[in-house]
Amino acid sequence: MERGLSMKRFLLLALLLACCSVSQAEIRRLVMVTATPELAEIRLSPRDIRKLYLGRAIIRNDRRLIPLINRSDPLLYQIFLQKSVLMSSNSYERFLLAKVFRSGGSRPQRYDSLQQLIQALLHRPHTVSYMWAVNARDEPRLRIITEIWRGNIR
Amino acid sequence: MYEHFRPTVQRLGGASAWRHASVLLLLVLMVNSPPVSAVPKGEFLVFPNINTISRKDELTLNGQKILPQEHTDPSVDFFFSRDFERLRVIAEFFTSSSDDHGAHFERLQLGWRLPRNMNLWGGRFHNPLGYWNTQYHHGSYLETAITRPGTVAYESSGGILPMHLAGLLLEGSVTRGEAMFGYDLAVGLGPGLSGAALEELNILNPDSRSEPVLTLRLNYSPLEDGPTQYGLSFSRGTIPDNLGGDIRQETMGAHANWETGRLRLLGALYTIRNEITGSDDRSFASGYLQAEWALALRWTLFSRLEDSRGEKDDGFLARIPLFVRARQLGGIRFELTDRQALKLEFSNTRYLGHHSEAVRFQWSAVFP
Repeated sequence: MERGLSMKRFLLLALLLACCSVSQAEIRRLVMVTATPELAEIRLSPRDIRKLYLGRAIIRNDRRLIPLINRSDPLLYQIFLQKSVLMSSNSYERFLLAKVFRSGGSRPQRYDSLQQLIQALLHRPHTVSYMWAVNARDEPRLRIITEIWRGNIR
Repeated sequence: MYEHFRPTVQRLGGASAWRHASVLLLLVLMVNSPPVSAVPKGEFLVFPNINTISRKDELTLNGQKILPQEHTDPSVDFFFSRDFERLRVIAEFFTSSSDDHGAHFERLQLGWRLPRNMNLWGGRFHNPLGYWNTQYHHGSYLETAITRPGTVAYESSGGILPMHLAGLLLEGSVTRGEAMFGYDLAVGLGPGLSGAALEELNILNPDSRSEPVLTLRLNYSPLEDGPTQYGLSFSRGTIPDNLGGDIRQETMGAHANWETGRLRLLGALYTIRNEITGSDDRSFASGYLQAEWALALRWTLFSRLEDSRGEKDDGFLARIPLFVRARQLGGIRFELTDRQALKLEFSNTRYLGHHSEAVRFQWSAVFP
């Protein structure tokens, strides 16, 4: 009887600890967003997103999408590069530089401030970018196009 | 044989200087003009570098010092690109304290972006021959090593192949699944042989004799825009000789760049046939293999082997004493910041009848 009770106590304690650890880990969603109304319903596959950020033309509704780089959060940027671009930060920077040097054009504009990024999305038609879903929900004029990644961050 | 030797100097001076300056000014005005929309449509990049070289011995030829024992050479490469709807402009202006390079437009090309990932360019551009010449140019910062392989050396630095053409270039790509097939077709005027080196065609001062060159390049990347790629090149053209006669040159090459994790291997092998007017044609093979190993976030080790076979009897090569026939080099690169690098390179190089051991050091950067 006493042994059974101590086992129950042990299991309850373990459950409690597990719940605590799950609540400490935050589930986050990384999403592609736009503020251009006609782009709200477009579909972008992971491959499209990669091509877009590697400088290839992605056309939706007869217009070329303009990618903006969000570097306001180093962790977000690293996850985006790992999941979408499949390159490290250094390799990506070097790739963009080499591509422009070889064939011309320009690199996607980078933003170190989330507010500036949101302003750019709001004021420049056909721009798209990526951010945490929680940040996208804070600005009602932003539309989530697709989810790039979902996971726990401790 | 070398009494006609002279370095192919393209120094700024007189009318040429004004012509260069006015074109450069026009480009700067273009890049600084208010953009059509708030979205950037252009880039202006500056690639400065300082090279120092120390050789065991200086190289002399007929009493002339052709490679000094100690030498420091600062240079700057200015790059500009801008889109005007479907029109794209690229300009690359290089200036160096070295007599071998002087100051001139490396690239000055106008392109029309066509559907299906095609671009049609006109102007002076890089001959799409092999891997190195399409990936790199005077932006030393982007190259892991300090030196270029001898086979793809610049015309004025002991190069034997046309690295620059003035004419038309059609480039494009087709994707199939994850893979990408690329192609380049170029037709343009190439360099001439002047003294003991090739002399590039200067499109702002085209007083030298040039003949057409045709180049076709095919490329395969298993992953679209991925670093790994394999390809073939073919080039045919005529190099006019200022001493009279012509050299008909045919080049076939295979190239590869393979990357996985920390390791990168890149190389190319060319067979080159030269036929000097009035004499038999000669063929030889020349190539390089470079290995790079990323030690840590900021350090990269590199090593390169270059070699040639069957080149000894080639009359055209006998005219170019600075052509690198074989070389073994090794070095290390350190990323000083996100936009600056330091490189140290040790090499053992075999030229025509000479060999040279050298240590090179380079600071290179890109701004912004």
